[in-house]
Amino acid sequence: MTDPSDILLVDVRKRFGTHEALRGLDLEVRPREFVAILGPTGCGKTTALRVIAGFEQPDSGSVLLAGQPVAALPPNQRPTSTVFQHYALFPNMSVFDNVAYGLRVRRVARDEIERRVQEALTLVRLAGYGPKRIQGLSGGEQQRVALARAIVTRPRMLLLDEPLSSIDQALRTAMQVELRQLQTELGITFLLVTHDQQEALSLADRLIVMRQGRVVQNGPGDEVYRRPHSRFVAGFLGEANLFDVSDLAPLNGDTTGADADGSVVIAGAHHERRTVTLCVRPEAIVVGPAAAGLPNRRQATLEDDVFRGQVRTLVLRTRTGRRIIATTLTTDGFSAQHGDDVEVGWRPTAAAVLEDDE
Amino acid sequence: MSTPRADRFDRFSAALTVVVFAALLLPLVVVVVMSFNASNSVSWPPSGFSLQWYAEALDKARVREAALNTLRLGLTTALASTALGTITGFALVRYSFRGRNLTAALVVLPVLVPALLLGLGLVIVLTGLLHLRLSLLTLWVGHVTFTLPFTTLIVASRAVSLDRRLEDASRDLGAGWLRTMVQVVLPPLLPAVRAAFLFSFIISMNEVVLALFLAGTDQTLPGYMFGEFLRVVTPEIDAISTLMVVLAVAVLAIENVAARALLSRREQS
Repeated sequence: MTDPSDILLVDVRKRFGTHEALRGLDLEVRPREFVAILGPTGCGKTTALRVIAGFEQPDSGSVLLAGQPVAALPPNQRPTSTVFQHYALFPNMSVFDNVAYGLRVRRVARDEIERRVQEALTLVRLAGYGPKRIQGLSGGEQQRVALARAIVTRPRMLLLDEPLSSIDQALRTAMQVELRQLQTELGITFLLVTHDQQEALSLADRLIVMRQGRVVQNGPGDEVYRRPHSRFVAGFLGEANLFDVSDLAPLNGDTTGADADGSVVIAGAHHERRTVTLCVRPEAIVVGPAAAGLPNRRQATLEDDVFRGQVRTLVLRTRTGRRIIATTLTTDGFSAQHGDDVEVGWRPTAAAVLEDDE
Repeated sequence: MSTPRADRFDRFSAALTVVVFAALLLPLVVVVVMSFNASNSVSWPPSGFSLQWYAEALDKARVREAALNTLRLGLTTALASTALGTITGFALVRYSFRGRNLTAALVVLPVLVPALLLGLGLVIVLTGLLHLRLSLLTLWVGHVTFTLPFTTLIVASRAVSLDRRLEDASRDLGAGWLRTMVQVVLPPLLPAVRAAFLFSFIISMNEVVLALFLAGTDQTLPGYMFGEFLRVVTPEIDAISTLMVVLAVAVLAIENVAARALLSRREQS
């Protein structure tokens, strides 16, 4: 625990013309962590990565890599290595020369270059691809060359900018598994930037959610997903049912209140607040007879029923007209017709209380 | 499937192409044919075949010296102008700096003003201000100035399509500025650099206005020919012109072969 953090940004600000890309960004990544910065387009996540790599100079704030301030260091002297969006492979060089580039710059001996390039290519499962030209490779293969090129110099931390965004869906899942394995094998820090919440959730040990140049939430993926702090995070990481509850009163350590459709029981003491917003994920909504006996119940009409293979997504509407999204496993055997009245409900512990209303 | 109407249009555009090419090539053909004329008349039609005008032209020490001057001037102009134009063209595209737009405007200025004015201005600056004697060197300064817009624009137009992230990737992998330039930026720019080199060489080789102003007692082939025009016109001029065309084509061909050889060697390594 006394290890210094690998990446530490304190109150970093960066402005491009009138656009404030980073507005006091604080961020920490510990050694050997796999962290994903997640956020919508324009939230400053790529700028953050470029500041860490050294391509952008922050206007203010401090950047420390492995405990050392790096403000004065150009990218070629930082302990980071970047996998660029769209890979940025050198088109005039072969696969081997691309991977060998960083080693040649460091004047590594010829036979050691040979050995380490082969090693890196084998690691990304491209053994024998050395003499090939970049243009002839598929997106997935280019992605792996970019990875091999970035790790062959044995960087202390690897920065990945939307690394899977230009790969088709089928291959992406396979590459996600490979990325995780690679990180375990190399034992180095991975910092990934993505706007794809699914990618962030399945890859990273920890999520940093950014919005408008700041971090809005930070924590393990399942925690950020289940316990979002804000409407923004709730909505950005998948579907969310949000309930605005008022008239709060204490009840045996828990809290009661009501929204437009009726009474609500909230786990924990929240009665000092005037109103709270609850976030209940679709899979935490219980539908049909199973909802009977739950403290939070609503009568609703089934509007839509989308079969998705593993799960089905149900769109329901309460008597006051609010929409509730629920997902059930298709093996649950729930069946109802469009227009049927069904009972829905959720356990108090399955609801997250948002900390702020943004 | 072609309708009669499209057919007629095809015939029309074919005829137009022939007319345009005739207009472009006919004067050239006439000059080449006349250079083999047996008589000393420069008016059509030629009478008889002879190589005497070539012999006469190459026999003159002034012509040989002018030819050598033209070649030296062309090569040194092309080298300097291409080097400067490559750096300027890339810098204008890649870096944002104070006065970038002004620089871009100033760089193209020499093509916008008449060569006459540029020549006059350079004479005043080079002799009056810098106290240089007019010679091949002052003409070289003029030619580099005159060709710089072309080389800069040729390289800049190509540099626009460069992927900036490749330069980032190179620096990220530890390379410094120079290595990034040589190994990552320059290779995709090479076709443009080659074109800039050839273009500036051929402009310099054919340029006459600045040559009259700035060469002093040194002479280039266009300068010599212009002088001859004013005195007496013989098919010797046609012979020299033909030789210059041959030289220009030869330069293009040699450059092409050299580039191919270089490229294949690089691919092998």
